[in-house]
Amino acid sequence: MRDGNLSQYPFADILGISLDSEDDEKIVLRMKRNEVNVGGVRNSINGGILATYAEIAAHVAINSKILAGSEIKQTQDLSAAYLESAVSDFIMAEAHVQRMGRTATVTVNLKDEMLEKTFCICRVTCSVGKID
Amino acid sequence: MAKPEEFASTLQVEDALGIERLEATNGMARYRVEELAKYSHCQTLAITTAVDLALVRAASTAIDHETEEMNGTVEYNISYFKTPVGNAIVTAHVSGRGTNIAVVEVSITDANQTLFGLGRGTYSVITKKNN
Repeated sequence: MRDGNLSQYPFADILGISLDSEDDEKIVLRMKRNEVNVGGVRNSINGGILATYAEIAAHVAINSKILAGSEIKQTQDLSAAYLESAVSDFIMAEAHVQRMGRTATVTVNLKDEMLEKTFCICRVTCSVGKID
Repeated sequence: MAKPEEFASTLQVEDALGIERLEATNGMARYRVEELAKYSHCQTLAITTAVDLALVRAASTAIDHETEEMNGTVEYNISYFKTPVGNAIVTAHVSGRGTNIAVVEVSITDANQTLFGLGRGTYSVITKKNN
């Protein structure tokens, strides 16, 4: 499986993030619990790391649909709602692109490895423009 | 005021992402985030984590550690409306406290002291069981 442009993201390796699957509907990333990403209450994955993970997942999802000659310029908005402590060994990120244009909006759900329990629901909007 | 050792569990997160604690007192916390000069489209990634760290730490300075416990971020949002230049400073202020929640507002400035991001979050606080 190719890396879904993860190699251009500086924290993907150290946070244990890899591409799990990719199809027309969604991108799924996988993050392995490790000594860096733990740091939340009840020995859970740190909430800030979960938000950054969602931001990376959104970027990868946008990059999978972006037109040739265009690139992500910057994240513009990010929101995260934490439903439960993320305590599983792997945290999956399901990213669905909802809109592609000069801004791109992606919804990202962070779940356990079986994709049964949702820990966090995120929405990420990025600006997209021509490559300089 | 929260003691630094209360936050030891996030030190590896901070080291890995280039985040540095500056201060935390009286409902306020401030962090510095290193610029990601080589990754122009990724400038906000570490800042996004720092926003949560700052709001948690600010909330921790506004609770009674004798009778209350930190219980996790409920939700937060951030808007980045300019491209930052150089290192970023993330400043969180507790703007409201209820029985079970603290509301925290976050501002983010760059090396030119230009405000480029604003956020707001809510943090859950619970009463200790022995109270």
